[in-house]
Amino acid sequence: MNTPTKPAPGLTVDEPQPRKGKSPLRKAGTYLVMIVITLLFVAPILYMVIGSFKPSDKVLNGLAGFIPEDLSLDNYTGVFDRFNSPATGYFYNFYLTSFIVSVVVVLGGLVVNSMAAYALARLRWRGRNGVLLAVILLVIVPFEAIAVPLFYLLNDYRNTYYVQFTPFIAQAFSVYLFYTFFVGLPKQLEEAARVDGAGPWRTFFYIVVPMSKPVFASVTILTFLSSWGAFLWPVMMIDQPAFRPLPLEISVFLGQPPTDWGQIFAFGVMLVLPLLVVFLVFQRWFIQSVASSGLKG
Amino acid sequence: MPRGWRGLKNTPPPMVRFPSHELEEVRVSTVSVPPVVDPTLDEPPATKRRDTKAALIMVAPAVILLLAFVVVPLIAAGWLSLHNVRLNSGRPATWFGLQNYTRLLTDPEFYRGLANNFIFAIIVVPVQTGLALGLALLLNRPLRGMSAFRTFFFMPVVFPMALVAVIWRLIYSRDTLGMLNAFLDWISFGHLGPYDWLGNAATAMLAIIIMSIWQGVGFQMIILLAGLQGISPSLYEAASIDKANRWQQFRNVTLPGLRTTLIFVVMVTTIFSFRLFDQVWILTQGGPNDATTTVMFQAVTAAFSENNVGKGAAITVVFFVIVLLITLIQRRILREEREVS
Amino acid sequence: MASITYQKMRKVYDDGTEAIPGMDLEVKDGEFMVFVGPSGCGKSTALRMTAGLEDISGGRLLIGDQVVNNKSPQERDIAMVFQDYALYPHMTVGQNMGFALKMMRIPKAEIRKRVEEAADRLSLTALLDRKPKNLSGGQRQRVAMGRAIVRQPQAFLMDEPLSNLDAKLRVQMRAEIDALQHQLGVTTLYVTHDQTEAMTMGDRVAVMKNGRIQQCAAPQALYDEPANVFVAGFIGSPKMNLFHSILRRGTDGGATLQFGPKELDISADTLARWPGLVDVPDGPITVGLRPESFRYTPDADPEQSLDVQASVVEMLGNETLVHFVAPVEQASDADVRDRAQASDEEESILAGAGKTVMVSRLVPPVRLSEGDPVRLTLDTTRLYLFDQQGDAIR
Repeated sequence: MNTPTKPAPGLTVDEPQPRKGKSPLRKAGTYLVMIVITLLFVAPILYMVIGSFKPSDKVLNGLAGFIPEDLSLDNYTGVFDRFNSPATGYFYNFYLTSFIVSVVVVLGGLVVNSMAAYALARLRWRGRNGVLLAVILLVIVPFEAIAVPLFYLLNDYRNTYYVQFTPFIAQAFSVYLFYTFFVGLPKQLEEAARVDGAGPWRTFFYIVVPMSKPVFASVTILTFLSSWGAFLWPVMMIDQPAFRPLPLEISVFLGQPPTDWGQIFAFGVMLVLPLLVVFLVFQRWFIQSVASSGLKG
Repeated sequence: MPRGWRGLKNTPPPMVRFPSHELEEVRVSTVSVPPVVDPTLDEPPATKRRDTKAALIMVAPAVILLLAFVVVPLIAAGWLSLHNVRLNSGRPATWFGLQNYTRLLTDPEFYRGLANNFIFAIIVVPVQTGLALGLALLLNRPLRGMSAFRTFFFMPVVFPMALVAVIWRLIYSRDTLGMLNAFLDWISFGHLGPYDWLGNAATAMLAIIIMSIWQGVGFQMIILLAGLQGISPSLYEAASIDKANRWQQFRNVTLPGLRTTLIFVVMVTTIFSFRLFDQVWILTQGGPNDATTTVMFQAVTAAFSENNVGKGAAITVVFFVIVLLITLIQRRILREEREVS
Repeated sequence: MASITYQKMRKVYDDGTEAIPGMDLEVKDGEFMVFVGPSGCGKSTALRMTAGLEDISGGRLLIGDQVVNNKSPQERDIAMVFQDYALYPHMTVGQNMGFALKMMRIPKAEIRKRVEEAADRLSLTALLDRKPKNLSGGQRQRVAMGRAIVRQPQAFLMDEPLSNLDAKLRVQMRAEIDALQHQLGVTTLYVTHDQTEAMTMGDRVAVMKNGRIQQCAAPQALYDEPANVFVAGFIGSPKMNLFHSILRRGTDGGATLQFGPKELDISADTLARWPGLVDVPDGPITVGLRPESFRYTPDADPEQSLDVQASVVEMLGNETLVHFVAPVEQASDADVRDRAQASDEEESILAGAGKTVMVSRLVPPVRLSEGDPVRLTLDTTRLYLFDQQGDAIR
């Protein structure tokens, strides 16, 4: 073991600062706080999940609503049974509607928005700057600003699938996300592709898209989240059960007395399940998407 | 193979290079020479031609859709707001001038809605942002299990607001069976009596605020967390060498480093405060007595329930102008930031 | 014929900067042509214009006998090796090499054959299924070459392909590229900022500055007969020592060149080596001395030699490089041109007589230390003379 040499006289050496590591007490305190906060966030979710397996009279039951007792799948089967006619709508129909709309919006959006972003990011054409500026400006426009006029213009197309997805396939924000990503790709790769004989289309499909997995994941997640939860638009455009998506239907369900809480919660669990699954499986992507969408702002 | 191309067979390379007298020397000429005129060079290069064609096709679907479903409605909103428009009544739209607007400006319900949105913003923006920042700071530590906590904190964001409203409807139930009432009853040993959260004008807005914060905090938290992680740790080290305590480090390193992100988050939350709709529609329908009515709620009600599309459009226009103002203010602040730094 | 011909090729950017005022050059079929020069001289721009990655603002570019100004890179039938290799990260080595062929819709069997052949030639066969991120720098460089070879193009364009390699690998790859080019016989354009690479690899080297070709000749010709001060100072390592001097003709047909306080005597016979001198009046002149034109002569007559003090000594085993301060003012290509416009040349030269660090190369090596006095003799037949415009006097 070497003994450390003494510092030369005249030099002062500071006492080493105490490490940032906390005392076990502080650590425990932090964990305690975190757990309490977690409970606050998770409690309503837990309430719904547990309640979905309990008989309805035990759900709205004060704090006892949290107690898992008399668990069964009755509420779930009940939901399917309840929605059993064209008048009430069929449960699988609600699911199907949400599914069809979301899939078309997401997939259609990926294709349409990424292509446009690539043309803006990498190709040279007259009018490029104008269109780019227009897209950036349109990002500012929230859906609510155009909901009412769209409602008026599309009034004849209510109660269809396509009125629920067509207006949402192209999104200025998605184009913008793709654009900033494509612009950040190394240009030399695209030049190499060009020298190799790939034109704009083939460069896009064979080179750019495979290298853009992160942004495709981000856009998919963000679009799916907003599409599955769409409420304002269906409220205005859909009044027939056959074309109702899940969020709209659960609000209708809520408003039909007597309120069967168990079944409503079961409905809710089924509604949120795809989102939760995607979230838990693709957590890192999910959080990454949100973070990057914020930093881009 | 092109002429002159010799194959890849491993033949030994010829040893003789180009004899030097064959290769002309080229010297720089300082005399300027007029450019060669060649009419075939007037066409744009092949690359640009092909680019343009591909670009136009690639950009067409998005542009057409955006034009049709964003730009046109935006303009239509303006047009509609200047007319008296009734759907399904067989009567065409009649010119109304600014009457929709003047009626709005003298409508106490509209002001109430506007005020509610402002109240929402004034409370939610600082509270939700502050909470999000606090949570982000908590999560930013290198303790084990942080990612699990992060998952839980973020989970409500995954829930559509419509569903969140349904769950909290039960929580806010007005008898002692309601979750919140039962909880308050329990921790106050019966002193805090059951409240009619959603039915009482005084508490309805608060109820909606709390629920919205619950759902939204995770989103901001993630953005702020990303911003925090973008602050170089060496800044903190330098500060601690300068003997700055934790609070001083927060004020002088963290906050400035987060400035842009915070401004963005504040702007988004503010705009969101004016978009408020889902919860109100499901839980309170604007009541009781306009306690929770909002700008968007009135816009939708006007167009959808009252069949007064002109009024709905006018409200929408006002809403959009507000959003624009907020955005412009944020851009201005950010631009000043950039010029200063 | 896959020659490449530039006819007054010009490049102007949108903001008006003229990168290349007008380039005239003919690269012969099968020739290895090197573009060399300091950064910003336009060499990469010229290469990219040849490839079709930059628009040509004026003049004509011909590949073979076809004007290709408006043709796409693919239509020009050229292959390019990029400085950063530009390998597609999501594809394997084999797929990278085969991509261009796939774009040309060549049948799969043929693609496989060509890829395997090229991989064999470049020792890449074992790596065909690897992705670029799992390759070393040298391996990546070879894949980039393989990608070009497989195309069987009319010309290879290489943009500083060796800059990212370490020194040893660079030397190795230089030889390989050279050998490969000779074996394939394909016209090659090679861009580099390293004059050693240029000298060792090119059939001809085009030295560029500010978008203009200063001189294009075989490497030895560039070394022995530089066209101007810039080329003289650029080619050769260590750099040629360039300084301002004054030419004075004597009555005997000879002349003297000012060297600080001393004068170098040039005999009439030696002077005859520069027939172009007849057009040059007495007065300011720029002189170049390569480091090897000095000889270590400790016993020479002080009147006939130079006494200097060694400021830096580099013992390199086979030679010694001695840096010393000479009482002359250094010349570089920029200020020669400016000087020509100043009045009262002689006075300004004498008045501003500064010092210059020169480098001498002593072979066989001499053991010296810093500060030692050194007596050097100059071989006046190995002078380079340049006029006030910086052009060589022949």
